[in-house]
This record gives sequence, structure tokens and C-alpha cells, in this order.
Amino acid sequence: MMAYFFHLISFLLVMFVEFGFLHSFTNQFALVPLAICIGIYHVFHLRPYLGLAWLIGFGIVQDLHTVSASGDIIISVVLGVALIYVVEQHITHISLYAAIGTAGAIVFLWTAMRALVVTFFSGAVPVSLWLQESIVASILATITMWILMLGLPRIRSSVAQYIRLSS
Amino acid sequence: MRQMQTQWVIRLLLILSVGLVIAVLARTNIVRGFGGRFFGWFERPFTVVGTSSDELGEVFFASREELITELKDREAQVLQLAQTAARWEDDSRMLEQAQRLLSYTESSGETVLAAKVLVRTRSFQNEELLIDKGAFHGISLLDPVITGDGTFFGVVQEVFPQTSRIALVTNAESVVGASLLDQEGTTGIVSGGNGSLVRFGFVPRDTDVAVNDVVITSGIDPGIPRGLVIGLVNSIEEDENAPFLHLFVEPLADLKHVLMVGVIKTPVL
Repeated sequence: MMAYFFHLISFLLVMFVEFGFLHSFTNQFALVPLAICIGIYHVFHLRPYLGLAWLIGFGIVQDLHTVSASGDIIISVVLGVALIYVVEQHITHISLYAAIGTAGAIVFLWTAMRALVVTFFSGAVPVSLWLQESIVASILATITMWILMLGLPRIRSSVAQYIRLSS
Repeated sequence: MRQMQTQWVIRLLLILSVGLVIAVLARTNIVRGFGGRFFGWFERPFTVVGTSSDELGEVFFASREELITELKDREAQVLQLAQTAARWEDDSRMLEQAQRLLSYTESSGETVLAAKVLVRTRSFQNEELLIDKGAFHGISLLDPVITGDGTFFGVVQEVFPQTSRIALVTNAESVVGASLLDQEGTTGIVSGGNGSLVRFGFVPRDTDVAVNDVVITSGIDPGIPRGLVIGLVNSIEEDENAPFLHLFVEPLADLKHVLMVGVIKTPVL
């Protein structure tokens, strides 16, 4: 129960950071896909439903932040299921490069699909615009994923060690 | 293998249907309203920090050349804004003066030709204006010129095909017959050449006059109607040996900031 509560709090915190802090940047840092990368991180650490929950949660919050229909929830469901299927059936989950590559591909597809939905509902998004945004977002996703894959396990072990020592 | 595929299809359908339900719920007004308020409230401090970091980062990460270019761009923007503001200010004043002129024309029933001030020149004590109406528009020599509120401003001194030169009431060459507001006929002659004041000369000694009395045009000059306000008596010079009083009058027309004037056209009899 505590674990669920911890994940809920950390998810909300990441959402506040992503939509409050990162999205207020005027440069490319606004495109850092922090929550998606954390979701993919969980899938690669064999916690697929937790990863899917992060992705769908991000889709919900993203949808709440857009005025018109953006389809992020459906995109998150489709890409989340596809990600779990690919990780479970086709690629190894212990490869750093596989995780980085998958993060880049998922973010690229996510941005492209969102452009498609917006084009369908609101009007055409210029190809150059969404292509540029998708490429930049996927590059940032690979960097974020790389940092998460290398940094988070170390942080987890340090925290665990600290808790053991203090108890 | 087939069982695994079936499992995957069931999982996909289940998750998709859950996603669809969530997607529909997320579009309802209650969820959107509550979610928007919740995230908006909690994100605000992060947004403030992010915005400040972004502004700092722009300066911190920018090269010297970028900062110089940025500074030049900002300076150009400031200059452009200042020019636009000045133009707006001028246009606003001109509109206000034109409206007052129109209002005066309607109330007085006189034929007034509105003209824009093109150039303002000043040499020693003579201040002159060039207006955008000339002989082609019906302007004649010595036509009286007024400001928006019907105050006497000067006379046309020179007429060109498309423009005219106006001598202000304070000019040395300006001479016009004047009277006190409550007196009949012509009391004296108002002439310029005394700085910002005009001289009201040849006023008989027995005239009942006091400081702040209103001086108007007497109507003795051809084309200049009676009753145009020139100004207020500022000071009275009395010489016991002289047969006349000399008064100094402060013109009421705004001589410095006028952008639009009216030229009174007297109907030809």
C-alpha cells in the first residue's frame, strides 16, 4: 500500500515538475519527456503495469492540459501496450541501448501521433514543425533515459542503504 | 503460441477499453475543471521557478555576440515603440483639435477650412506656420486663422498653390483691430513683436479696462469677423502725458502645440 502511495506522490511530483517547471522554458528543454521516460524505465525493469500506469497517467494529465482533443490517453494506451509487448517478446530488457533506443522511438511516435490527431481534429500541423519537435523530443528522451537508467538504480541503492543504516 | 496471442489480444482489448473510458471521463467538465484547478494550483510555484530559470539561462548560456545582438534588437524595438507612441500622441492631439474645430464650426455657423500644420519655423520673435491648404483650396491673403476652440491664432501672410504661410498673432508683422468684450466698435490695435505677449495699443485713456478683461477682434479688418477671442489683459501701462493707454495681452490660443488650425472664409458679398 505504501508503495502505491509512494508511486502516486512521485507521479504527481513529476507531473508538477514537467508541466510546471519544464514547460515554462522557452527553449528545447520544454520538450524533455520526463514522465514517459520514467514509464519506459519501469517497463524495462519488469514492472510493466506500473510503467503503463505512468504512461496512461501522463496521457490523462496531458489531455487535461489541452483545450481541444489531443488524444493523448489513447496514444498512451496504444504505445504502452505496444511497448510492453515489444519488451516482453522481442527485445532484451537488460540492455541500456535497447532502453535508450526504445525511449527515443516511443517519444518520436507519441509526438507524431499527437500531430496526426491534432491535424485530424483542429487543422493541419506543418510537417517540418512536428518533425522537428519529434526529433528534438526523441533526442532529449534518449538523454533522459540514459540518465535514468544509470542514475536511478544508484539513487535507489543509496536510499536503501541509508534506511538500513538508520534503522 | 496461439494461447499467448489470445492472451495478448484480451489484454490489449481490456486496456484499450479502460483507456477509452478514461478518455471519455477526462473530457467531462467536472474532471477537466477539477483537474485544471488542481494541477494549476500545484504547478504555479514550479512555473515561477521555471520562468526565472529560463530568463537566467538565456543570459547565462548566451554568447557575447548573441547578447549584443539581443541588446541591439531591444534598442531598435524601444525606438520603434517610442516612434509609434509619438505618432499616436500627435494623431490623438490632432483628432482632439479637429473635433473642437468641428464643434466650433457647427456652433458659430461660419465657414471654416480645416488645415494641418506642416512646418513650424521660428526666427527671432517671428513664429510662422506652413499649413497644407493654399490657393487651390480657397485660401486668400489675410484670412483669419483660429484654433479649435475659436481663439484667434493669426492671419494668412502668404498664399502658395497648395500651402499657405501663417503669421502668429505674436509676430511683429501681425496687426489686427481689437476691442474689449463689453465695448462696441474698435478700441485699439493689437500688434505682435513683444515676445509671448501682444501689445494692445491706441486705447483711449478714458477706456474702462482692468487686468484679465477679455480682448476680442473688432471686425474692422476685412475678412476678420468680430468676436474672435484674442486673449486676456495682462498688464496696463499708463503714461500721464500720452493720450492713449498701452495694454499687454496674453493670447489665449495654444501657440506652441497646435497641429490643426481653421481658416475662416468670409462669404463674398
